[in-house]
Amino acid sequence: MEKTGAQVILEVLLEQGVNRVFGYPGGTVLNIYDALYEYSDRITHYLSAHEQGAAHAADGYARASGKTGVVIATSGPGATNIVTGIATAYMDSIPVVAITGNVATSLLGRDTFQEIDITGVTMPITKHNFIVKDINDLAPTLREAFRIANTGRKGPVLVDVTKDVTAAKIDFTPKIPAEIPEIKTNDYALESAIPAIKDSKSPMLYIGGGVISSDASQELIKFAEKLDIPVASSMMGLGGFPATHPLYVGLIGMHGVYEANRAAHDCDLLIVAGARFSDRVAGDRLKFAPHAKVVHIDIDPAEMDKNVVSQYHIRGDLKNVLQKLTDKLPKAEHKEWIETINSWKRPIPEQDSTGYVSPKAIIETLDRLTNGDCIIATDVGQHQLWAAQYFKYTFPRQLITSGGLGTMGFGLGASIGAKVACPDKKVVLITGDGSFHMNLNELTTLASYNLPVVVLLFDNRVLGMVRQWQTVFYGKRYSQTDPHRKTDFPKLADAFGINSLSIKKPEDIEPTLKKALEMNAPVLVDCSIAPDESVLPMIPPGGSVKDTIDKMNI
Amino acid sequence: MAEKLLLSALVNNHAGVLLRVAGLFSRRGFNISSLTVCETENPKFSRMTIVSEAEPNTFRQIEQQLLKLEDVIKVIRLKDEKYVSSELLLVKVRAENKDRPAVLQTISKYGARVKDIGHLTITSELTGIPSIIDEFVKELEAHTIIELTRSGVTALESGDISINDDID
Ligand SMILES: Cc1ncc(C[n+]2csc(CCOP(=O)(O)OP(=O)(O)O)c2C)c(N)n1
Ligand SMILES: [Mg+2]
Repeated sequence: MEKTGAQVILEVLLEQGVNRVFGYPGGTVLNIYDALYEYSDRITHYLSAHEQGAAHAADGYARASGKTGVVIATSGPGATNIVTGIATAYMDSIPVVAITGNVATSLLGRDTFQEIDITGVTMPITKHNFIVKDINDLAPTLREAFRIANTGRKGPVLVDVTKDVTAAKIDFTPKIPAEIPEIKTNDYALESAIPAIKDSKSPMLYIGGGVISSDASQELIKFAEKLDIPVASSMMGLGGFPATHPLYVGLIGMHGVYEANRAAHDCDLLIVAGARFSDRVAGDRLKFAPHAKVVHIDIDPAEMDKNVVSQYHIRGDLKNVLQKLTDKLPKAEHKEWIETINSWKRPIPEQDSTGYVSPKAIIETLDRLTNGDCIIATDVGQHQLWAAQYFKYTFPRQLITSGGLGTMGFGLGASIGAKVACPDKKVVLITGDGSFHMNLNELTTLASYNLPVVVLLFDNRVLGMVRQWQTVFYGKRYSQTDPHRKTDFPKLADAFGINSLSIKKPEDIEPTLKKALEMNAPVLVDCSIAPDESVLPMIPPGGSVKDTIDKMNI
Repeated sequence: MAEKLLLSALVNNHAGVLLRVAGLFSRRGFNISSLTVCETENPKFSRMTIVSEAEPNTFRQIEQQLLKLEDVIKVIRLKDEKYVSSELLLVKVRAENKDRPAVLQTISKYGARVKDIGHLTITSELTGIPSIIDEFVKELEAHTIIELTRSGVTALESGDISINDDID
C-alpha cells in the first residue's frame, strides 16, 4: 500500500506493538503529527510540557512495562531538549527509540533554521543512531532501531528523519518484528565457575539492574534459595529480589546498609549478577571484595574487568545463566555465614526530626498503606536514597529511578510514563524540592491526561544531598544549596489544576497519605522535611566499608 | 607499563563510522597511535588498522568496547609476529648539489623510491614495517628534513586465514 514516510513511521511503530508515544510537535515533524492525527485511534500520543519530560516519560514507560519507550521531537531545540532524557536511559540501559525530525535533505549542512546534527550530538549517549535521508531506508532503519534497542544490553537508539522523507511516498508492506536474538551463555565459563561456587563457605550475591532487564527475578530467587546465598542489591537492582525474603541483606554501596557492605568485604565468593561495580557501589574498586573470588555474570562482555577484576566471566543472559547454575549445582547451606551477617546488622541510624516529619516514617507508612504494592518513581537527591532505603521493594520494575546518570528532573516525566504503562497500579513519585523545580512544568501533563500520580514532595527547602556533602566535606559552607526559595507548592499545584495536601506533623502522615492514595486523581503532597536530615550510613567516595559514617556532625 | 596493541577491525562502510570509533577511544581514555581505514574488496565493509598504547590488562576492554559499536563487525588482535604489516612514508629532504649524492645513497640503501626532485629537495617514498621507516627517517636526519607524512600502519594476518572467514 502506498504510504507517506510519516505514515510508514507509525506503521512500523504499530508493527512493533507500540501504541503509546510521548512527544512534542514542531516544524520538521509536522508530517508525523499529521499522521498521528489520522492514527489517533491506534496510537495515543502524550503531549508533554517540554521535550525533556517526554523523553523521561518514554524512559519511565519502558522501565515500568519492559517494552520499548518511544519519544518524538522536532529538529534543533526539540532534539537537544531530549538529550538528557536519552543519556539517562543510556546510563541505565533502558530501551528507548527516539524519533527526531530534521530539515529537508537538500538543506542539511547549511545551518538551516532549527538544523542540528543530533546524531553527532547523541553519538556517545545512544547504543546507536541513524539519520534517514532516503524513504527506502526508513522502515528498515526503524525496525533496526527497535532490534538494537532490545538486543543484548538494552539502550536508547535515535532515528533522525529528514522532513522530505516524511513527505515522500513509498509502497509499504508490514513485517512481523524480527526476533530479538538470544545471547548465548558462555557455557565453558559457566562450568569453570561451578567448583568455586561449590567450595565457597561464605558466598554473596550482588545484583543489579540486569536482573530486571533480563526478567530473571524468579530464576534468581530459585538460585539463591537452593544455594542459600544472601543477596545484596545495587539501587538499580531493587525489586529484582524481594526485600521481604529472608536471604535479602539490603542495599549495597555508598548509602547501603552496613551488613551488606561488610558481607561484600568479608565474603569468600562474590557472584555479581547484572551489576557493574559502579563507583557508587565499589567506592575503592581496588579494595572491593578483597577476600573473594569474583564470578561476574553479565550480558555485556565489556563489563568484565572494566571496574573490578573478576576470576570468572560468565557472559550470557542472566535468566539462562542462573537457571543453568541452579540445575548444575547441588543444594547448599550457609547457616553460619548468614548468622554472621545477621550479627553485623546495624539499624539505619535514627535522626531527630523534631518540628518536621521523618522521611522514614512517611515511606514506611506508604509501604504499609499500599501493602507494598505500588510503583515508586523518584527524582535525585536524599529523597531518592531514602526511597531506596526504606521502602521494601518486592517485585521487578517497582522502583523507577535514575541510577547511572542521577538526573534531577527525571521523576515527574518518568512517573507519567510509568502510569501510562501501568494504569492499574498506584504510582507514587517521591521527589525533592530541587529536583521538582527542574521539570515541574509536567504537572500540566498530569492534569491534562488526569493521570492519578501521587507526588510526594520531600520539601526540605534545600538541595539536601549536595548540602550533606558540604556538611561532611566542606566545613558546612553551604554554597548555593540553601536557596531560600519561596515557592508555595500547594498553590502551584492549584495553578496547574491539581489537588494538593500537606504533611507538616507526624500525625498528618497516615491520614494524609490515605487521602492522597484514595483520591484517584493527580495530587501533590507537600511534606516538611528537616533541612539537616541526612542520608546515613554513608561511605565517603573512594572509601570502603571501614570508612562508614554513621552519624552526622551537625 | 603501556604496550603496543595492534587491532584490525572489519566495520560497516558507512559515513560516521570513523567518528564512532575515534569517539569511543577518546571518551574511554584509550590512546590511538595510528589508525588507517579504507574500503575493502567488499564495498559493504571497510577495514581499520588501529595501533594503540595501553596497559595489557586493558587490551580486552578495548576490544570489547569496540565490538559494542553496531558498525563494528569483527575485531582481531594481531600479535606474536603472526601478521604482515606495512606503512607508507613520504619524506622531503633538503638535497642541494653537494648533498645530493649522500641523500640518494641513503634512499637507495633503504630501497626507497624517488618520487619528485625539486631545485633544492628530493621527495622519496618508502613502504615497510614501521621500525624500518623509523630507521630511514633517523638516517635522513643527518640532512635536513623539510616535511614528512606517514600513513600509519596497515596490517593483515599472515597465513591462509582471513578476517572474513566467519562473516556471511
Ligand atoms: C540535573 C542535575 N543537576 C545537578 C545535580 C547534582 N545534585 C545531586 S542531588 C542534588 C540536590 C537535590 O535536591 P532535591 O531535589 O531538593 O533533593 P534532596 O537532596 O533535598 O532530597 C543536586 C543539585 C544532579 N544530580 N542533576
Ligand atoms: Mg530538597
